[in-house]
Amino acid sequence: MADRAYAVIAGLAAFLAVLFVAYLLWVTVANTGETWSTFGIWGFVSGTTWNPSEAVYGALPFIYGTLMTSVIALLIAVPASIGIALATVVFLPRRLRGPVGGFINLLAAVPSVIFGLWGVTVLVPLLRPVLDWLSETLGWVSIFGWQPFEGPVTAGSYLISGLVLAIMVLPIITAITREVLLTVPRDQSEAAFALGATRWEMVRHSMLPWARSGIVGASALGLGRAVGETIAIVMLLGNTPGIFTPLVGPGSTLASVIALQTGEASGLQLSSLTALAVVLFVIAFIINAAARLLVRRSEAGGSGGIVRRAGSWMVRRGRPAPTADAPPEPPPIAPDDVGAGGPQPVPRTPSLISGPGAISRSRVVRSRVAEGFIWFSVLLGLVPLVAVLVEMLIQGLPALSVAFFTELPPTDPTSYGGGIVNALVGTLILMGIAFLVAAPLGVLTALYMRDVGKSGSWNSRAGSAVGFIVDILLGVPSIVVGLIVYLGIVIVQGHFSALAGGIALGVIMFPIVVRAADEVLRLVPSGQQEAALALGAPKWRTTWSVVLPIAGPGILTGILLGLARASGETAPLLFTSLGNQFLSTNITEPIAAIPQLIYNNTIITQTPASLQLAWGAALVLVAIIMFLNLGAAILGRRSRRLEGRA
Amino acid sequence: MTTREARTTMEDPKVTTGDTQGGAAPLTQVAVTSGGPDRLLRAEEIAGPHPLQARDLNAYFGSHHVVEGVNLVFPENTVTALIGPSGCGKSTFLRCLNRMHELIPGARATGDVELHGQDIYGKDADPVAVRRAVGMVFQRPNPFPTKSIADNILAGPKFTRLKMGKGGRADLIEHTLRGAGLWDEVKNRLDAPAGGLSGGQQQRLCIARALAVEPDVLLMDEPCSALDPQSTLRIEDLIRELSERLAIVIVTHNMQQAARVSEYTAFFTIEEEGQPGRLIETGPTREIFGNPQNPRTEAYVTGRFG
Amino acid sequence: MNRTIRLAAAAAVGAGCLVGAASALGASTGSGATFPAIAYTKWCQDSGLCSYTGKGSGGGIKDLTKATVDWAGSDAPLTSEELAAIGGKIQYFPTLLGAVTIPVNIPGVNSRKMNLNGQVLEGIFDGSITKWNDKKIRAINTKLKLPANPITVCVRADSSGTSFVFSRYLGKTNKTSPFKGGSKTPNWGAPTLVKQPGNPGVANCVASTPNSIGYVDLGDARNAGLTSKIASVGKKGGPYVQPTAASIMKAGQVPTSTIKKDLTVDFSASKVRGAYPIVATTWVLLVPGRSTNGGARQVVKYFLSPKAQGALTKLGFAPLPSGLRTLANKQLSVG
Repeated sequence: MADRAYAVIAGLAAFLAVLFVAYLLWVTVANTGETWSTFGIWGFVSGTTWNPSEAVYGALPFIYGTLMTSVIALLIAVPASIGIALATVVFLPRRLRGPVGGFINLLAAVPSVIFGLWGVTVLVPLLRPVLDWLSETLGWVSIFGWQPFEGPVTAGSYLISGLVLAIMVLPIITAITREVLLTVPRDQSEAAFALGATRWEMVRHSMLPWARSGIVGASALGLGRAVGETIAIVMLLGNTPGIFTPLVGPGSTLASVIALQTGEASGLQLSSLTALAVVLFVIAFIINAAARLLVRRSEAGGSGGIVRRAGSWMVRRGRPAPTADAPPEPPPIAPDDVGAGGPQPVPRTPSLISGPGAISRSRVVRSRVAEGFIWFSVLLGLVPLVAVLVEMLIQGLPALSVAFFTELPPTDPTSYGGGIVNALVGTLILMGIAFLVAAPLGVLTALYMRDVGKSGSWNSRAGSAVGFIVDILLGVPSIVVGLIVYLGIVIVQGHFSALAGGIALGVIMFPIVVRAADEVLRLVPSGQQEAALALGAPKWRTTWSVVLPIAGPGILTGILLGLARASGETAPLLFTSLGNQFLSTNITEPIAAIPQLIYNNTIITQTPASLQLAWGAALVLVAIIMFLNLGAAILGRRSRRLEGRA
Repeated sequence: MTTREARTTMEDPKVTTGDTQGGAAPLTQVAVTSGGPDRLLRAEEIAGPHPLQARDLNAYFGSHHVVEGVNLVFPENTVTALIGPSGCGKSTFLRCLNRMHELIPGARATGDVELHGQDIYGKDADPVAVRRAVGMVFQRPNPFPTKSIADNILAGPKFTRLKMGKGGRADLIEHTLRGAGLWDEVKNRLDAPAGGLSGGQQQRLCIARALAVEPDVLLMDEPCSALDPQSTLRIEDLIRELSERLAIVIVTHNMQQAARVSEYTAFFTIEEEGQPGRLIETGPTREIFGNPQNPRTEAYVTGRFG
Repeated sequence: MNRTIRLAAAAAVGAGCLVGAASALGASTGSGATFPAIAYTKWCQDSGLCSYTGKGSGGGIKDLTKATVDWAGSDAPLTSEELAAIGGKIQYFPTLLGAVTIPVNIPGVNSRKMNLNGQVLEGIFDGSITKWNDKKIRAINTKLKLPANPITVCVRADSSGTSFVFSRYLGKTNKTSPFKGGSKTPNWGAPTLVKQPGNPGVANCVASTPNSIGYVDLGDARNAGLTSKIASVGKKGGPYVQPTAASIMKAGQVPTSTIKKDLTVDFSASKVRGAYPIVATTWVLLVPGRSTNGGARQVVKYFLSPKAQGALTKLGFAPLPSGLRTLANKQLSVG
């Protein structure tokens, strides 16, 4: 009987989650109807004009801008990420590997608006001469009429946006690549070393082939992140839609136009903005689905699975064997650094193992060049990080004091002092709501997928459907979540509120919690549960007293990671919790949040004093996120240890 | 214990140190330093050249002393088997012979290993060149799974940048695969990924791959422990064949195997947990198994211990 | 089992705390124009009566329409569609005078010495003037050495009252202008356009882009350190004046009788000599008959008080002309 109740509760949670997603989907469909019927789906997607004053809406320039900035970002971020990951797995001294990896992960904790601010105030002026030089020397370059470097160079540009975006997606690509590289079995690297490979040759011939699909997957995940990036792009791209416009000039993306125009839009414009969100969602979905497929495939059984699949194809076109049955001649090797070939061992001169002649010059050069590139990547990743952190410390530390945590922002934006107590409390309340929304629902949904959604064909189909929905949610850009929650809750309810903001953050957090919980639950050894079940314990009891205690730290890790992700979000809050200059704890009223306070103090009003407050707030936010990530890492380590014991 | 060791080479190398952990009990220290092995294979006793020789070799994992003071000579065109109970340091000693040991975090070695009279741990010695001259085959077959069979063979020559034409490559592939007794099985699918071969075939491919760089010495770390009896026999045949051309050092837990394939045998053991592994006795295989001088050797080879 | 109950209880208590700890401040919420945001947030905080979020006039009007806020700040009167959406009735309360400044960044050129008028500005922003050494610019800047570089035009990316005020001014000075009547999102015709969010974004754009021009309210221009980059603007034929409290207030010197009944007065392109021409008033909007209007009226009353008005000059604005202030107070007591 109790088992029945357990199934019902878990099922209800999963059902609730599905219902909510369905509701948001319905809201989206209902809101985009006008656009589809006015322009047609293809007409909208291929439309090149976006002009609210003439009520003409086309998505193509934004699709172009989104893809172009993301591609530039990936072109920079992927090689750099691979380099950094290799450095932290192979090339750095062992003592430095962990710290450098962790340091790069820090970048993920810096909120988007800070990157935007850093880009605008530091990077744009710094790189100005470079862009000017590019436009002067390469301005004539024309690719089918597209002149990527044609001036004039503007403050907002594809290149700068792409660069900042690259820095922003670097941590995620690096982290996953690193994980993938660490799964390369030791015997693979030893095989290469034992054949006399240098470190780079080992990497090139044994690590990278093994990790290739995982790296491609990691890059695609980074791409998924890049297309959804909002605030930094709003601040850095110049918001001027265009197709095949110069890269040193401005553009616009799907996410940034949604962020900029939703606040004032209604009617067909709001409908079209929602339609842009749908387009963005579809792009992100395709990318994420591909990425997940690749990462999962490369994680399952190393490259074996891929190889076997590719293998059957390759075997068929295998080349015919030489017909010679006669004993083969000794291979006519003409070595450049070996005395003679042939099967007979030849005593080698001592110079073989030492001295300058030991390995050929071209090998040394190649390996040096490759390692040089890897060090350059590490530098590329570390320099912006250090720059942003140093900037944040220099600018933000003077703001920090006891009053910073107890007082409201100053009445006059030009005066120094004051604090961010409203935003600090607001962020904590928003995170609390997000936690209450996402954690119980998320864990119950994961339990449903595991315990209930596997018995019976209907249930198992429902279970995998829930899993699919969770996977989809995982890839939804936060700006899209914000817009949909705005349509589905704020407008319906008729008021901006902390509740709406918290729910938006909860929607972002929910799939992270489910996935983390699901993965951890999978790792609980089935023997343990069978032992409990064999003692006559009901299923819910087994789950409660056997499975959850083992999986608990892992699930908490997922929850903390979800909170960390949600707490840095700005875009979804702009349309939901609105902001509040006072200390409010009423969840039905607008509420302040740290990312939003930073946004307001940099984009809406900007004075030296407001900037100082913003940098200080950024410091606090990064500290909160770091704290959450650290907690997650410690718990994660503990749960891994448990797993090892089990 | 075999599976445990298989894991150590596969996964976190630190686990290896676990095998040698334990309380330090230096009680037998004196006896050993004064006594030493009962019978040693000395360079002077060997007729003919001996490409590889270890002198007073010590190996450590961090602060754990895992191999102590080993002196051993490996004659040309012979198979030397290293036997002993798990954790006695024989695998570690083997990995010291081509400087693979130092790849494990915290691992280091002291003493001399001479290859053709030159110290591979010398100041100028390049580990990359050392490993090229002293090849290695591992416990678990580890072909590059994404590379084709042919490319696995060519991987080593590629590293060493041997220049050869297309025909030269084809000949090398055929030659080494024949040498490893794999040619007839794979000649029709040289472009297929190596991951698709069976375990025994993969191991022979690994041997072929090691042969393709023309090493002077081939180290084999329990090369048959992950294989079925049929494949094991094939590999053993192969080892005997290969020993006509180069020196082979093989670590094995299987004493029949040692007896079947090797001319010389070296017995390692540890006094107790936490002590370093030491070389107890070496000699012609027949004598080690038939007439061991040291009671511990006798206990081990007759199955009363280990 | 015990743990279940305890956990559930803890969660319930936690949720209860969140719901129960309602704010003691019954503050009236407003959102909208970023142009007066500095003044409004200061006034709100000084008085403790309200909370204001600057997000653009359009956003504020939309929030007010959906009743997600109690009052809106706007630099522009409602369009007919907006008025229809909100139910046909709206009250305008002017709160302050502000100027839109024209920051110019040309390396080697002293911007304050740069003279601009409505015709030239209109040409730059609609794309008919694309280079700094255009004849029309040189004609009124005979003493400046202007480069042949293309002009980068920095404008607002979001819907903005500042854009409305500026484009309405451009529309007024030129009969054939596409900007006639003004728009919160004008269709700028300039070939090299960079759109930035918020006035600080536009200010940053000008500051970091050589050969650029933009439009920013006086306070934000000052905050962004652009004071030395602000061009002088005047009527055709001059005089060309810098925006200052005095020159802004001069633009507000109109006879009370000429002010429209709904108080949607337009002070731009003033005929008064020495008046800065790009001047606007900004309004607090209320929808008559809403239950929240009691609090909102308190807010407006404070905004119009001498104490509040006296704080404006320091923030880069000018107080309302006394005639307009009287009319606003009168409407407050009537409506």
